[in-house]
Amino acid sequence: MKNKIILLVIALALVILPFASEKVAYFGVIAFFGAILAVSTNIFMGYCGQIMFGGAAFALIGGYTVGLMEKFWDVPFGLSVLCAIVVGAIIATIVSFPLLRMRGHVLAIGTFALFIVAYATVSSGFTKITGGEDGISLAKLDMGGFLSNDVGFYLIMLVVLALCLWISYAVRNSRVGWAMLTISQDETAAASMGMNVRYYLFIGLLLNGVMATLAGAIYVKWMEWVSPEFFSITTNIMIILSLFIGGIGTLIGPIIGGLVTFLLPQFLLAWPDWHVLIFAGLLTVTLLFAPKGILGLFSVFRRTEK
Amino acid sequence: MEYFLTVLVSGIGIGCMYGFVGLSFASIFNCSKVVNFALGDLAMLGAYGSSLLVFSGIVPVPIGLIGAIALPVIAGLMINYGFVEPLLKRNRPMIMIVIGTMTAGMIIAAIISKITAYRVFPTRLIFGSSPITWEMLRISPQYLAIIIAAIVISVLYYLFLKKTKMGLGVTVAGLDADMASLIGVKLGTARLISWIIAGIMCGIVGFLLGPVALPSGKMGTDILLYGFIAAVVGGFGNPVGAIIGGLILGCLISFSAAYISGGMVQLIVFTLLLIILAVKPTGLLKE
Repeated sequence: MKNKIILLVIALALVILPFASEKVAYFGVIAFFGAILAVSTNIFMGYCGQIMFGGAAFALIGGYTVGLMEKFWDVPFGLSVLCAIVVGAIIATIVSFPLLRMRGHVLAIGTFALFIVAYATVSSGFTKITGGEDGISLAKLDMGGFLSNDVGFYLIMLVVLALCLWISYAVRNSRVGWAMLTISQDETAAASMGMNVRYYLFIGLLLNGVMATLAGAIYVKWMEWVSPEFFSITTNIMIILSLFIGGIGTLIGPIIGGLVTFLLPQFLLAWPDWHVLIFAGLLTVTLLFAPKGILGLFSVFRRTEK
Repeated sequence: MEYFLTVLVSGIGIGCMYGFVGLSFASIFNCSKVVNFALGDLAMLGAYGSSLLVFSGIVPVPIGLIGAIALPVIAGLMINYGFVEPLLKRNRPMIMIVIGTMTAGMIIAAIISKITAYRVFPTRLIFGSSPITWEMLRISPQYLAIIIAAIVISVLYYLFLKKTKMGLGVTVAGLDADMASLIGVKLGTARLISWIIAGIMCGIVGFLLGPVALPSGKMGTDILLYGFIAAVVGGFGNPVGAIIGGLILGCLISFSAAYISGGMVQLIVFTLLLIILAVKPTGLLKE
């Protein structure tokens, strides 16, 4: 009961907050974008214990689905987001065939190759369709007049984040989640107990792909522009960093990590090299002293939390 | 035919370079099962060392080579004692150690970018810029140097692993750590040696690469990526495989750039990589 009240208060505060200041809404969208990407990657990387170095690829696919559909067929935003989800799911299914045969460092380079293929396709491969480095500009979304652009997207992102978090929570506490945990601990043992390892890993990859696609699709509409720049290697690395800073495999950790990792560069725009050093410092501290992430540090003081 | 051969030779040159980086991956991986993601930035240090010392005319080439090797070795030892050993001691999962080395690489790249302030330093080709012509083959001396260095270093590395007591110790430490410490191999020392070897290799790669590719704080990512691919394609931890993987990769890059188009290189290389890894997830040669 007490937890529910706390949750309700946090949710209410998050909904009211953007109305106080436009700046909060602006930074909120970026932070939630990062948090959704971190939550999505956490399912495949944290729960399943695999490696995903290509999380930004799915976000890019989502972004470009929305962008291309608007550019060529003038599809309304709601419909194109739905299409983006379908495309994300299809692509996740296709790439699951090569990727799920790989493990360990081979999977690391396999998922990274997936990212580079996606990035190279849009930035240098088929520039006539995708506009190359310049990208595609999109129309402003009509908020119905009573919400500003930033606040509207803040609320949309918040709802999507809550949805992803709920899915993450549901997966974690279900049969599937336990199966994933077993696989991450010892794959051979899981397989010898009769578990369909490939099936559970596929679910992990699919959820990862769909959530990240959704985040990318909404993000580009907010930016009113699709560019490969949004989904660069840096974004990719930031997703991984946010997982480790926040606490990989935990429920809330990736959100905290995503918020920190994606907001920090925004506040340090004037000192571009420093945020890398701050990240590195944060990461070193978490790896050495708090393997469960920032959140894990707090549970040192609160012994009840496991 | 002429064009084909020229492309082939430059492909082999690039390939030897990436194979080299793959070899230094193998050196550390075979000793402690750590995949070192800071290698690209170590090679970048070597490139800066060579470009700062030799090409700005401060010191003669041999001393510059020593400097270019010393920088990555020192940085490698700092990473080993600052990141890897403490993480190993705390029994962190391997992925965290990998992320730890990546962090170290990020720090190196950031510091270098900060110090040099994104300036581009003048470079000079050590062996002259006029190509060596032989029959109808034209080879850039820089690539020739890279190929020769790759052959020499591979042979030396092989001899070190198989013929010296120290090299055998390093090999055994990688095969079975408990067993190795039982028969008197000091694991910490073995890891230290593997890091020094990797540092030397990165220094040589950087020294030779410096004049071809202009050194920048960001060049480490590319070196790391392609070196890692070479190592994985050949079979991770297999020194011969790393060189073969590097050669395949180098020729792929060189031929797709020459015959298809420069913009499609990454797309082709990485699509093929996905296919190769899907067919043979353990790499072409066994791990």
